[in-house]
Amino acid sequence: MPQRTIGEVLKDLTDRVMLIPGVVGTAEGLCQGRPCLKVFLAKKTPELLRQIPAVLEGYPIAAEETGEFRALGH
Amino acid sequence: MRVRRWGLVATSVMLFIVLVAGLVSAQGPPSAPPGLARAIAAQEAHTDRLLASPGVTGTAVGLGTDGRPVVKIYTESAGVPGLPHRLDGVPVEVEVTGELVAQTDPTPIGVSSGSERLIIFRGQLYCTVGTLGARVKDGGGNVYALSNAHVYALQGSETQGTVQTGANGDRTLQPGRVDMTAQACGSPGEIEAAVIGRLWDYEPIVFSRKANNMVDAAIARVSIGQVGTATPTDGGYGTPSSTILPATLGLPVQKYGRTTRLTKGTVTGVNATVMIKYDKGQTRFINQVIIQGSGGSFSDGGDSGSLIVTQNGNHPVALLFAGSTSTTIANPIDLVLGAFGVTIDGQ
Repeated sequence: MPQRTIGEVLKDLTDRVMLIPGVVGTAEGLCQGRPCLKVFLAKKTPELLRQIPAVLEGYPIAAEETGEFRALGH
Repeated sequence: MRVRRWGLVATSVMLFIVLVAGLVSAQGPPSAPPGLARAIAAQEAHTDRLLASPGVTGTAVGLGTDGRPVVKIYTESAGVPGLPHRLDGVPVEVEVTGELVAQTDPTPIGVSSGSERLIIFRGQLYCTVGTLGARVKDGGGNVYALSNAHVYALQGSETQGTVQTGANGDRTLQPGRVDMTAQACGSPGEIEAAVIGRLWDYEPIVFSRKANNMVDAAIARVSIGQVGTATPTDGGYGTPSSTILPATLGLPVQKYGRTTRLTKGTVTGVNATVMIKYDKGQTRFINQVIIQGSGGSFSDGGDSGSLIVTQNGNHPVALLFAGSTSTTIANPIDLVLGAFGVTIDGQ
């Protein structure tokens, strides 16, 4: 079965999860050396984790608590 | 000390002129004008004492109107009292040069920098600071200081007055006003002394949850004498390469910035979509680079504008602009440079 590229799958995931309050970002990354999708969370809560799939089209998804992102001027 | 150093420089320059003049005018074998050695000896013997007098800015040996060696005394203004007419028998000429401003070394990159303009936050005025990331250049030989649009053009904040660009653009300072010491946000004299250039151009940031911002970047027009190309010699990584590289997963990187200085890390995310908070609110950036520090935070407030380079070869990969306690976010450097048609002025 032809698999879509990680970039294509990331786009779909981004459209889906960025609407969820508390999700602050997505990216393409490496998990244990293998390509994976990342979802960045302001805070890792069970309610939030329930809305994030574990795998999408064969790519594992890692949910990471990063906190909110701010511009780093002072 | 600076005035004194100028005095010594003046000495050697004037000596050179004297010797060249001797070579040109001499008939037959070149020779120094008679009395030159005596004039030099007199200058050397009395310079320390002369420079201690108020209003004296330097000394030199030169030729008087009659072509004979004299000791020159440079002053800030006419009529400085108590100056000798002769020194150990050598005639003295007094010349008014005005106050001499010491030539300082160009500022390194990776240090405190910001806009002169203040921001308004919840009705109060504040000054700001970020990092001068790199010196960049265009095809016409002009050089610029690179930082973020939120640092040099205060994008994302309400400002006092309207941000100006181009030849009459907002003044860019090094250090930024937050780091000035005479009074909160700096005294007028401190601000004047810190001017390195003017805001030339910036990429406006669009504020919307669906925005497709890709760079938070600005350039200030500077001169080569004001801004150098290397990070500070104590603890920097040196000079960035002028050859940029794409940020790829697992790439070991480093940056030098105003707050956390030299830090090392790894690219842990690419093609990132992230929501970033500014004073004005939250907005979206796409195609971003994610960096994780090695054994500590890669960045903190005030590091905005830092250039991120590879640990191997100092190849620029991204421009730091945002983050959280655990994570740093940066714009791909090709998009930043492409926005202004400039390249890294490096090695």
